[in-house]
Amino acid sequence: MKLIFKSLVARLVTSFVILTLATVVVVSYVAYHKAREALLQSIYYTLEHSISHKEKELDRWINVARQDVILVAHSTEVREKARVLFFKSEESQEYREAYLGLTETLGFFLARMHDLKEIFILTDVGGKIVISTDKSHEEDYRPTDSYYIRGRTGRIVQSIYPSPVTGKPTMTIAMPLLNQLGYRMGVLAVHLNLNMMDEVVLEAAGLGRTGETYLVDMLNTFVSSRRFGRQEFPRGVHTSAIDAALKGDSGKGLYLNYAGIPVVGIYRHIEDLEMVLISEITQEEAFAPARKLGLSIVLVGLVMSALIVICIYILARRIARPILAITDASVKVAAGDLKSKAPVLTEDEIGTLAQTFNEMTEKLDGLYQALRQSEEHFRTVFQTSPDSITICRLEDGKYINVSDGFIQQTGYEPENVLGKTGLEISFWSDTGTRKRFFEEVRDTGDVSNLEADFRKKDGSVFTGLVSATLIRLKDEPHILTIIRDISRLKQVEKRLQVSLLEKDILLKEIHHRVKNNLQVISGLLDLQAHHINDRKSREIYKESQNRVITMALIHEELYQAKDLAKVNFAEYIQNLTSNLFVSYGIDHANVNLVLEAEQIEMVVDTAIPCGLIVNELISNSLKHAFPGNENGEIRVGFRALKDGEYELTIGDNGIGLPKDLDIYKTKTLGLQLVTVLTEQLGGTLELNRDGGTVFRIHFKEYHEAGTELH
Amino acid sequence: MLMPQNRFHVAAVLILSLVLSGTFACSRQPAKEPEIRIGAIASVSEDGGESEGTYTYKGASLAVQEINSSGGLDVGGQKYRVVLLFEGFEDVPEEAVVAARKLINQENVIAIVGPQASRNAIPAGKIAESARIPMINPASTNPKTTEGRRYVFRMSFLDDFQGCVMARFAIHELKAGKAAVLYNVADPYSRDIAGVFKGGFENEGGKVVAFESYTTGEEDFTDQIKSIRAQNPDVIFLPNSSRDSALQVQQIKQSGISASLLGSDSWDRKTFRVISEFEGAFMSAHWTFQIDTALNRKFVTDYIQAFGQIPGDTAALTYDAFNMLFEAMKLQRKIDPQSVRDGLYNLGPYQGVSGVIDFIDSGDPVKSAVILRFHEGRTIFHKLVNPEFSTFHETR
Repeated sequence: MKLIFKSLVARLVTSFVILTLATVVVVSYVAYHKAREALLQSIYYTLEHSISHKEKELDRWINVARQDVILVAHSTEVREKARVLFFKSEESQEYREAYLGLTETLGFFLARMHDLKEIFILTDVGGKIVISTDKSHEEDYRPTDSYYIRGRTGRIVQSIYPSPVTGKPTMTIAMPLLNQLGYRMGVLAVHLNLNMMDEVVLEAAGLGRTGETYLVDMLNTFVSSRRFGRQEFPRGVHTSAIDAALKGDSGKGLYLNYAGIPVVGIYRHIEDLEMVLISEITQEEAFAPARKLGLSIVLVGLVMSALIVICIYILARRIARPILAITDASVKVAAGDLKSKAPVLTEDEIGTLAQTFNEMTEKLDGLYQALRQSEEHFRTVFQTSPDSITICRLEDGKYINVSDGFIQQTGYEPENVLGKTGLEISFWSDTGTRKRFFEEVRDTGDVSNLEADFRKKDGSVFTGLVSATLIRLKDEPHILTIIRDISRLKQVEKRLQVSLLEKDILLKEIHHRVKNNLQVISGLLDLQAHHINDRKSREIYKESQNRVITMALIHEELYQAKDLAKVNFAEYIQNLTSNLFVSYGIDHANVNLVLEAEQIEMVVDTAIPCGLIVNELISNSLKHAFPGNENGEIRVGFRALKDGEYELTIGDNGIGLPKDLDIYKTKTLGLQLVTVLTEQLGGTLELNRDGGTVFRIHFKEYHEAGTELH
Repeated sequence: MLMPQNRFHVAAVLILSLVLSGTFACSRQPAKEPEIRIGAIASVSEDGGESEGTYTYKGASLAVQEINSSGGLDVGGQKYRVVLLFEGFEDVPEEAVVAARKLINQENVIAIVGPQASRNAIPAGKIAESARIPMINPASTNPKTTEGRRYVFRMSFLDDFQGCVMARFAIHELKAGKAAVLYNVADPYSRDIAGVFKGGFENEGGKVVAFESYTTGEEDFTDQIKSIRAQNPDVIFLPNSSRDSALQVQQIKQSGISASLLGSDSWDRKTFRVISEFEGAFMSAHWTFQIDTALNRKFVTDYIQAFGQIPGDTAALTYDAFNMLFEAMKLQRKIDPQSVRDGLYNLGPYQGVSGVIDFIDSGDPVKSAVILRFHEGRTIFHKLVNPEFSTFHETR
């Protein structure tokens, strides 16, 4: 049974076997039944024919017998001699002569009339048999025999009955024996030769080997004298046909006969003989042709089925073979031989399957090669990178693979580490960091450049730069971790930082010193100024002083600031302008300074020129814009524009510059300075003379090529 | 692909349901009450009047009613209802045969009681014998009824006995020296018993001076009576049918013969006792209600209660026949014909209404006869004659 599920061939063959067998069975069954029906009708026809024929034959036979009886009864000789026997004395000579003569006559009749068994004559009164062809019956009295009683009055045929005397089946015809004048003298009776009737009825008459026709009387007894009252049927014979016929029906059907054999039969009730005529043929014989038909269909069908099955088997094998070849190739491929090819044996679907299979294995092969190469690369990287590369399971943090770099880096041999977690070997100096590391990898998928301390095998600690990412190995998440030993770098970093610090301190000192020096210069100028009487000259000295202060302030700013290279410009301007106000003795109540400067850090090389510009212009404003101590406003604005450009605006709402002033051609040192400085900055100068004086300067911050700006 | 198991399951379910429906259908047939079918046949008169058949029927139905009202016949622990199938026929031997065949072939009886008259019993017995159905002819007295037969029985004595009884009675009691006989040559019963009487009478020292015959259908016995008268007998023996005997006696009386009249069991005493011509005549019979036994008294009472008349020989013998069949079945504990027949032989002496009946090695029992006398319109029990000097038929 299992075979069916394992073998395509077996399945196909079995299915076909069942199909064809079923077909054969059904067809033969149907054919058998159809043939049977047809045969049945044909048999009925034959039986009907036979029965009708038999009935006629019986009739005819009885009529012949009747005719014979009439002949005897009317024979003058018989009458004459009988009369003597009736009326003359038994002892008389006449009687004896008549007796002998009549014996001869009756004997003669009997010999010729084969349907008669016994001829006898009875007296009119008492029913004494005066003469019979069966001498043993002479002198018997049969007064109550019904043939006698009825035969006295007319011709009668008594249907078959068991003789009360002999018990044997008898059929008797009797008629009155009349004298010349037509008066009844006695009764002539004849027992019929039932063997003859038997022959009539039993004659086979083309019914086949098992066909038979027989008579049954109204009391269920076979009439055939051979079968009459046979010991096998002490209670008479009962079949469904006989019982139906005895009720008076005539019909046909399929039933069991007296021997229990199934037959096809027709039964007919013969009224005047009070008998039932039955014609039967065994169903076996009747339906033999149908059976033969069924059988031959079965045989032919089986042979054909066998042939079909063999063909199917061969065909199935043909189909199965290429499939099996492909299966073989698949097995080889599965075993690792990707070069294995399936044979393309046919051009049909299976051939296509084989081709496709081969293409697939080729691609697989290619992929496999690529994969192998990639794997090799990885392995190379893994092994040769000086950085430590480890792979551990995300779930439990156990190391499953460590590179040579790791071994070098940490001193741990693989056997120390594989299967254990970093925690177990106390790899991470800070377990909190480790925890955070794991969480971040798990949550985000990777960690980049995390600095952490690790413990080597010998207990020494190193700083590592950790990067890790989540990978899937064997369908489980793992962490690929790369640790770069940055201990040396760290040391260098430290040293650099120390150096930088030192530098800053130095720079600070320098700024301090410079500022001091400049302040000394300023002081000196101031002193010098005191020795000059000329106001204008004093002014010039003041201007110069202010300029020096301007620069000193920058250094002051730088000295105090955190960023020793950059100046908080807004703060600087504030300080500068405050200083100028003081220098020029301006009261804030009179002149308001509005400073709108963004918090911008400026490099020194830019700040100094800007500062100097601001110094000049504000000095200008303070000196010239508000004559007579008028109230006024000086605005200083500084903002960043896009593209690293800045805008410095210095303006006042004073009287404005002289109309004919061309700043580019001016002889004023201050303004000259402004334009020159602006040029130095690489910027542009704009002058707005509406409502005062507004100088607008656009410039880009000064930086050396290649340096990035924040 | 069907699982083979599924297919077997389907087939099994189909077969099982077929079988179940078959048995279910079969079980729908109503359970038939177990019954025992016994046939009774006797000749009936065409006009439906009282006849041998009516008495047979009454005797039979009394026995059957008694057993059924007591819950049925208990054979081997099973109670059976006894069904009586009575088939009357025209008094012609052929019809007796037809009746017997009908009961055997179509009514499925296990035993038959009847016919009564030997002329009918002899041919009917032949049928029963060949069909192996036990037959009891209660009142048939002719030896040929059971001769050579294993399945036929009678309840009465044989004519060999009866004939002798009457002959001896005539010789010893009537002191007759000369006897005349008028018998029906066409009736074997009449013929044979006439022969027995003649032999017996002459054996006892008497002389049979006239031995006249007639045939059935004859009604004018003038010639035979003339011959008889000429011989002046002391007794005339008339073992003929009631109809014939009645005519004969009338004609005898008319002719002035004064001999004592002797009859046999064929005489219908109910009819004859009131006929004046029969005054003083004697007849032999099987039984009379006047026999005083408890069994007899009960039978007579029950019969009168059932039918409103006094029972006669036929009824009594038939009643005994049925009860004996019941006993035979009870003894054998089976109800098939063969067992019934064996039972009758195995039964041993059975005390019936009509006397003790014992089938020793034939269907003929050893039985007593009664002699009756007609006097003043009554039948008088004259005497009981026991069979010391009877001859048996040794037959199986």
